[in-house]
Amino acid sequence: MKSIRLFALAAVSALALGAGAAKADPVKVAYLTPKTGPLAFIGAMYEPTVDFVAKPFNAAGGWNGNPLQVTIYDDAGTTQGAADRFKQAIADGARIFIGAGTSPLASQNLADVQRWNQRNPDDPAVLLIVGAEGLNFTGKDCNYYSFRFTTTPYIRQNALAKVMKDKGMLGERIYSLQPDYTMGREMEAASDENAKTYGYEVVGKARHDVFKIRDFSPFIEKVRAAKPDTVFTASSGSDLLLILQAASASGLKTKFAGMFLDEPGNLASAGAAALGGYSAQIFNAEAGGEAGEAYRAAFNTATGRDPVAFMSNGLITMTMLTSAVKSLPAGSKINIKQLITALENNKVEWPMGTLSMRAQDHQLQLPLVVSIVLKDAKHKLDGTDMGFQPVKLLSAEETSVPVSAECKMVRP
Amino acid sequence: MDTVVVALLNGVIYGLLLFMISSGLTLIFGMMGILNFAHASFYMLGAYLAFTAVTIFGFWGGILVGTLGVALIGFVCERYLLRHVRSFGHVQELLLTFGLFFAFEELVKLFYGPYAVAYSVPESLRFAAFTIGDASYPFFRVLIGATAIVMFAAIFCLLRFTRIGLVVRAAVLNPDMVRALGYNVSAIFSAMFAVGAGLAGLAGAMGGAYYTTSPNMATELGVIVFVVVVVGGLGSVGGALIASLLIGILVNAVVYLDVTFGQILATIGLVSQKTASDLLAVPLSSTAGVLPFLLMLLVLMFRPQGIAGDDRA
Repeated sequence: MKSIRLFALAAVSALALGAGAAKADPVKVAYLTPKTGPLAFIGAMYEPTVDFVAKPFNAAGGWNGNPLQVTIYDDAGTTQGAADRFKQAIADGARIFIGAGTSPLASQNLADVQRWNQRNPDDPAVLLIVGAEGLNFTGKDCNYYSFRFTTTPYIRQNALAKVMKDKGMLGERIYSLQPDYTMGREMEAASDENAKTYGYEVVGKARHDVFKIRDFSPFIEKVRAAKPDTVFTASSGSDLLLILQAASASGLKTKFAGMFLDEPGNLASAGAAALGGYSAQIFNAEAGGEAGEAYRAAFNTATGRDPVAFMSNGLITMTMLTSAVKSLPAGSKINIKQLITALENNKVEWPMGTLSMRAQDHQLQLPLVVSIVLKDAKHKLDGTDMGFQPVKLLSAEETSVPVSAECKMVRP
Repeated sequence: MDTVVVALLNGVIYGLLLFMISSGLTLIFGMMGILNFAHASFYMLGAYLAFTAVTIFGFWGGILVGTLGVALIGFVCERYLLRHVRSFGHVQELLLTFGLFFAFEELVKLFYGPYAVAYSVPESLRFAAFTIGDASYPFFRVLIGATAIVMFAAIFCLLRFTRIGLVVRAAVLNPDMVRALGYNVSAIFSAMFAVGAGLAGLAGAMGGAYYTTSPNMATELGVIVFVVVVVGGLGSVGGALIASLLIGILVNAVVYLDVTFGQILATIGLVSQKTASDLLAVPLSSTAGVLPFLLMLLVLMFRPQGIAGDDRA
C-alpha cells in the first residue's frame, strides 16, 4: 500500500516537473493574531476563516501549482509580541503579512512593514489589515504597502444612520455613548458630522473607560435624562453587554445602534437585553439571498458556526488575497508590487455584493447590512432564540465615504 | 431629584458589590498578609462553576456550588501550594498567586472557550423591585446589595464576638503563641483562606449572572479589589465596606457631573478658556475607571494605614 502511494507521489511530481511548471514553492503568508492572553478571542475568531478560503484555493491548484501557505503567528495581543513575530515571519521567508488584531497591534505591524521596506526596497513586504478600524490606517498613516479590509467608524455610523433614517427608526435625538479610545472618539465625531445630513441633534455624549467599568447604570441614567431616540455606540465585548444589560434592567426603552453586537457569545450573554439592537454587519446570510445562505451553510459545515463579526473580514481578506494572487503571471516568486496592483484592480464577488479596493487610500469598498436583533430572525445565533434580521443591504457605493484629506500616499 | 436618588442608590449598590468581591481579600491579604493576586480569579471561577452547576441544580443550587466549590479550590491552593512557600516570604507568595491567576484564566478558556458564556439571572428574578421616576430598579441589584450587607454582618460578628474569631485574630497577630497554646494554626489559616476564596466565589456566582461571565472578568477586576483593601485599611472589614461605598458613590457621581477637566482648571484660573475648550476638553466621566486608583494614591500619601486600618501595617 505504502509503495503504491509512494509511486503515485513520484509519478505526480515527475509529471509536474515534466510539464515544466515552476517548482512548488509555497506562497508564504504570515498571519499575525493574538491566540493567547486576554485578546485570545480575536485569534479564535479569525483562525477558522483561514483554512476555509486557503484549502479550496490550494486544492484548485493555488498559484500556478504553488500552494498558499498561511502560517499563524501568535502575537499574544501585545505590540512587543507583534514585533517579535514579525521578525520571525520575515526570517521564515514571508513577505505577505495579515495583521489580524486590534488597532494598536495593526499600528505595530504597519511600523514593522514600513521599516522593513525602507531597509529592503528591493524585497518589500505588504500588510493586509483585517480588523483594525482606526481612521489613521487610511488617513494620515495610509501607505502604499498596506490595505485595510474592514470599515471605519465613519462608514458604519453613516450606514446605520442612513438606513435607520430611511426606515423612520432613527428619531431626532441622538446620544453618543462611546468607549474612550480612538474608535469611540471617531464614532463620536462621525455622529456629530452626520447630524445635518440625517436631520438629528446630538443631545448628549459620554465616554467610558474600556473594560474597566462593571456597572454602567450611571451612564444609563445619564442617557435617560437626555431623552434620546437612538444611542450610537462603538463599544464592544463585555462593555457592550454590560451597557445593554444595564439599559434593559432599568427599563430604558431607547434603541441602541452599534457594530459589534454580533461578536460570538454576545447574544447569548446579553440575552433579551439585546433585542431591538441595531448593528451594521459585514455579512448576513439572509440579506445575501441564495448566495448568502449557501456561503453560511458551507462555512457552518466546515467550522461549526456561522460567520459573524470580524470572521467575515477574515474571509474577505483571504478571498481578495487569493483572487489577486491567482491573477498574477506565473513565476518562481510573488512580485509584491504586482500583487499590490492586482489588489487595487481586483473586483471580487461576495454574497453581499461586489468588493473592491480603492487605490487612493487602500480602503476596502464593501457592502454593509444593517440588521436588528429579533426573535423571529431566520438564523438564530449562539444557541439562543434570537438572531439578526436584515433591515437593509447597502451596496458598496452606498456605504462609501470620501478619501480622507490626510491621506497622502507615496507611490514608488 | 429622581436622578440624584437613583445615582446615589446605584453608587451604594455598586459599592456593596465591590465589598462582596473584596471582603474575602480583606481576610486573606488584610488579615493573613498573603498577597493573593489570584483573588479576582476566584471571583471568575465562582461565576463559571455556578454557570456549570445551574443546569443541574437550578439557579440557587448553582450559586451554592459556586461558593463551596471555590472555597474548596481555595483550601487546596492554601494547603498544597501556598503553605509551602509561606516561609520564604511575600515575594514567593506573590509569584505563586500571580502564576495561579494566569493558570486559572487559561484553564477557563480551555474548557469554556474565549468568549462570554450565557450565564444570566433567571427570568423569574428579572423584575423591578421599585421604580423611581422613569427608572425601574431591578430586584437582583437589591439582592446583591442585601447579600453584601449580610456578608459584612456575618464576618464582622464572627471575628468580633465569637471565640473562633478571637482565636483567628490571635493566630494572625502571633501565630507562635497561639500554636503554643495548643491551637492548630495551619488549619486556621487554611480555613480562613477557604472562607475568603468562598466569599469571592459567591460574589462571582451572583455578579457573573448580573454582569457578564467571560474569561476576562478576572483581569478586569484584578486590581480594584486591592484598591478597596488598601484604601479601607489592611485587615479592617469595616474599612473595606467604607472604601467600597466611597468608590461606588464617587464613580457614579463623576459620571453624572457634566463638566470637563478644562472647565474645572479654568474656573480655578490655572489655564485659559481656550486651552480649556480644546486641549483639555476631556469629560470628567471618562475618568470613572481611573478614579479608584487616584483615591488609593491619595490615601497612601496622606493616610498610609488606610481609612480604618490600625498602625500595625
